[in-house]
Amino acid sequence: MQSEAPSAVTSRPVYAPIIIDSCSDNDVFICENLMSEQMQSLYLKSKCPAKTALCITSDDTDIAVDGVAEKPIKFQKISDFLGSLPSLVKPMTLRSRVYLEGSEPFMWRLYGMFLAQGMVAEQINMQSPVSNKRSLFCTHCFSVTDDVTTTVAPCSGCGRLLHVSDHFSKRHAAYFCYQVNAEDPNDVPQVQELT
Amino acid sequence: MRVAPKPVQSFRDDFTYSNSDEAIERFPFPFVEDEYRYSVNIESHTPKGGTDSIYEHFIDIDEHYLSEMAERAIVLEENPRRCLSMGHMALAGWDFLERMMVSLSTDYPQYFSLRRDKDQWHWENTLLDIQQDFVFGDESTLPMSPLDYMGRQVQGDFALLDQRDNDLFMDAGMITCPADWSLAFDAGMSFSEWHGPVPMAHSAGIFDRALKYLTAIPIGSPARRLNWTLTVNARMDTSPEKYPDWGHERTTVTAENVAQKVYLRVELQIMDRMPRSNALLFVIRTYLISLEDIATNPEWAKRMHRAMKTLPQPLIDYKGLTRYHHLVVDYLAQFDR
Amino acid sequence: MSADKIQVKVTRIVDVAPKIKEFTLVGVNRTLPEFSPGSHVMVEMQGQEKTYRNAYSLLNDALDSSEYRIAVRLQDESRGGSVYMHQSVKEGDVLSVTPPMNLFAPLWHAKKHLIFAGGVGITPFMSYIPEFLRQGVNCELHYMFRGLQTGAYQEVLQQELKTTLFIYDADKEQRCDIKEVLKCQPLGTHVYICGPEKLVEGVEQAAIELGIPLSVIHSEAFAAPKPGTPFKVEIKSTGQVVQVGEQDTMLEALETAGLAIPNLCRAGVCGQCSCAVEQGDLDHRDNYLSDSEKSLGAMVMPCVSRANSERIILDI
Ligand code: HEM
Ligand code: FES
Repeated sequence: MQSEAPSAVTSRPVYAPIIIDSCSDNDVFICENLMSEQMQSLYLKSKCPAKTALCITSDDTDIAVDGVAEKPIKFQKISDFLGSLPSLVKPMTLRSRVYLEGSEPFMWRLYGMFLAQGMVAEQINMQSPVSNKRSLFCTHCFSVTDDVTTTVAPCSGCGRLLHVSDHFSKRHAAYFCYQVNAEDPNDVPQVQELT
Repeated sequence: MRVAPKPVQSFRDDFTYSNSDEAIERFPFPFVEDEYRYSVNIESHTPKGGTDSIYEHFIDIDEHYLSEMAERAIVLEENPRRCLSMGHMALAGWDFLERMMVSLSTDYPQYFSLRRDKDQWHWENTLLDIQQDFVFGDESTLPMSPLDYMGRQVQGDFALLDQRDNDLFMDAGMITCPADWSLAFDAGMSFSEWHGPVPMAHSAGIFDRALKYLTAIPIGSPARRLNWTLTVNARMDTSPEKYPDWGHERTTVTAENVAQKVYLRVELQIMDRMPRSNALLFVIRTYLISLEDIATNPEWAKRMHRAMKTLPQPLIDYKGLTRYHHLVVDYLAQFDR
Repeated sequence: MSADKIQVKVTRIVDVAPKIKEFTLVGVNRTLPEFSPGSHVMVEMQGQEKTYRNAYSLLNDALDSSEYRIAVRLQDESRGGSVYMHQSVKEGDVLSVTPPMNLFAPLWHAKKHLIFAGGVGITPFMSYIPEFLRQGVNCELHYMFRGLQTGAYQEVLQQELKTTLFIYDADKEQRCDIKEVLKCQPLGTHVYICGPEKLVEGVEQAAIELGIPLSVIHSEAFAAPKPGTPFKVEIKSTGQVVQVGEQDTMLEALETAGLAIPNLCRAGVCGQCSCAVEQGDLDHRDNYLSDSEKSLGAMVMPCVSRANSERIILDI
């Protein structure tokens, strides 16, 4: 069994339970794929005069959610969403809040987008990641490999076998990775599931 | 007499790098106690040790100047992203250029000269045979950005930290000889984030304290500290970027070659406030010395033996010494009897 | 380690408000260091009985550091420095200043700057605004004062900011509804406050009530350090007893008594002046020690902190 102890590397994000901010004037809820029950209940708790629910999913399934009055707006890809971001944030103020749900790289990519719009970290709330998927930053070729769940994983750019560390960059929404067998080509540790 | 820059030696392939007797004598030996532990080892960066000491001037230019500049040119040619600067750091780049040009031309008039007439500046670097007329503040009058331009003419790596919210952010730099960290990856991080992988120091409160000190550094009162690690072969560029090229060298250390192959790598780190931008300049001036050369000073060898022997395992692993640490301790033991 | 002092000559003194004088300073036989918007210098004044050290913001556009301009308000509860500046300093006099230091720089990536200034608290913003205008970033200033005492630089500000300058003269019963101003600020706004503590607290309180994150609120507590009651410091190693008057800081008193305490910021952030405490009830006013260290009471930062008890013993 893996221990549940938080990583010793302090750049690894920790996720605190979300509390709905009752002063907000504009709440935006964004989910990767379907909205979880937990997120639905947060959505219902928000008494905000303006609130929006969004799902970003490549899936064709219906995203209607019981109990959430308006059907969430659906986007196929993050890049589609990016186009509508300026009009979404236009009415937002220093009082507004964003709530994110999904995998860790998904949430941090959106985090970067909202930061670029002028939001500050305290306005952006993240659920604990829904999966152990990580994005890897290869320090040798600088490419980012998505959807990795194991350490010792091949880089999608240069093909090297990478060790996945816990050193995290918010800007890259990815973890620091380096060739696992650079010192000794025959010394490749066993593949392990990431936590 | 300070030894003049020697002809170019290499930090890769055939590793022709060597230290003269004078360079060995003035080496910044970092172990002040028999046990090495992380601490907030910051002091004011004022001259000490007299003429020709590495602490005589703001930036120490030594016999390896030409070699280090040649090495840096190779690294940047291969990967220009080893130098980066975010949009809001442009002014800090000019601060950096000014600080370096003024201090080098004042401290080493035989090599560098600067003439200023308001914004019209003329810079000469006789060591690299460079002459440049430019308008201060106008990037189009320089062949490249001020950080890139001047970074290629000064020994040491450089980071420019933006200061906001009582924190520092890694928003610009030129890092061509790091002790295994990547500027491209750490870009934009806060002080505590980029120090994320360092073991033991966070919980000891070292980084919180250090940060409070750094954010309060005023103009004209630079501070310094020493940091160290070990490197196999006289390799300057021990970056993650090039790790596939140098990682295997860690397996080549043997009891027979340890004295020649393993180098103590010391970083003289200088922190200085930039006046126009309020950025903090972080200089990492790296010195390499083989164990063999350390052993020419029995006191050093003895002290280093003790420091190596008592080094906590998390530090051994973090610094990447796991494969050959015991060989270093065994070799140095003969000087501590 | 303390930064090298700079000798400056006072070349001009002008009244810019009933209780505020502006001083122009130039370097004596040297050029002055460059500085960044929001910087201050510590001015050292050699009074008859004691040396005063007060921090003043630099007023001029940071592009031109050929001179420094500072503005001094005559304080009612003065520690003495402002009285000295107003009554004793004449054109041609020489003072000494520290190199500029900046603990209140604007956030360059902000999309809008929203400023609340109270009285002489306008001073740090005088160097912000020209740079904001050059960068073409939106800037809005709410300027509160008592016209019978303060309210300097209204004309310049009017020219610079035009429709984004809002003036409130309390002597004409004009008040600023802070909450209303904060209510609809767009994303990317950063808020700066300089003025009396009441103003800082008022803005912070309004922000909390509105759910505005405090990380966008930046303040320079401009009021001179609150004086405290006098107390005595005993030096454990020598038995020497040093009296700290209500107008002095503990650090100044120790220095005057001939004790050299390393110091840097003199503002309770750098940690340089840290002294071990043997005994005594402390009034910690620094930002260096953690809360737990403060409650432990084993260390004190004499540059800002004081004693609640009549006597404390320092282990130095
Ligand atoms: C703003 C200035 C500074 C910069 C840019 C900087 C940068 C770095 C970086 C990039 C690393 C490597 C982290 C990694 O493994 O990825 C590091 C390591 C470290 N830093 Fe800093 N640092 C600064 C100031 C300081 C100060 C003032 C201290 C004082 C205690 C300090 C203590 C350390 C220590 C103990 C390590 C581990 C080094 C080792 O064991 O080899 N740093 N620093
Ligand atoms: S001098 Fe900086 S904390 Fe006292």
